[in-house]
Amino acid sequence: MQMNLATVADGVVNVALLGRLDTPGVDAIETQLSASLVPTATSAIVDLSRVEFVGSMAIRMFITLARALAKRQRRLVLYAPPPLVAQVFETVSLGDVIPLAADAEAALALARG
Amino acid sequence: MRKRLSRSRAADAPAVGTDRIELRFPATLAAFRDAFARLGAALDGRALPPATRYGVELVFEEIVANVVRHGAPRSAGAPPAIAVAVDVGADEVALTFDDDGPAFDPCAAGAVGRTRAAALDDEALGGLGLAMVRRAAKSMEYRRTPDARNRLVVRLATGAAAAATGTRD
Repeated sequence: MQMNLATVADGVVNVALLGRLDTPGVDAIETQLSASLVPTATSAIVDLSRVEFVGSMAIRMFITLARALAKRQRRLVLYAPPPLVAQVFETVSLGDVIPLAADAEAALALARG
Repeated sequence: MRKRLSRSRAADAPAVGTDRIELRFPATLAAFRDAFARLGAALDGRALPPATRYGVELVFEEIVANVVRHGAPRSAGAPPAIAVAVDVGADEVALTFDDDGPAFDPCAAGAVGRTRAAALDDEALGGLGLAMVRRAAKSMEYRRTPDARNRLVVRLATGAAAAATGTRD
């Protein structure tokens, strides 16, 4: 699992993920991702276009992170999930708690509120 | 279509397929990572529709992760041993999980959590994986064997049968 962070606007970081968000994949990035965003109260847009697989551990990670950022008046936005990943999000109605966007531009607009 | 979640004495006898993938590994994160890679390599050689393959990997991920996270050591720190058989048939894929961890019935009402993310508090998040398996499965059958093993069979529809059970390809 690879993760690259880059600032794309004031107070907003783009998180590009590459690989599988299964249990080992989440274990590899969760601590670093949370430590990079929550203490500094940074909003994040997460590029999922190169994520092949998402399981419940990844969904739990995103929900936990979104709630932690919300307490600091910041947002987490997910964008460009591949169709099968989007289908998993749909089955758990993830969009009810985390904004989902089609592309980076739309995600940034949502992150800025 | 109503899905079948039950405890069955026939749970160790998948009826489908002669094309079998078998994996055996200890319930550790490192072994889980390796087993997932071996499953992926084995599935590469099967012409499964993408959504069916995703379903196989999702069920494998959630059930094995549950054993890794919650399977207490049998004795002297040894993790539970897991055996997984994946039988690929024309109309369904059957995954049979066998482990010697503590008794746990994923089909029991209390084990299967809610699937709507908005309804999940921190405690309920732990049950999300089993709820996702339930949504993907055509049927689930569990039994505790006389030699104190958990045996779970999860069946997924594929091909034409998938349309009838809501699995989209």
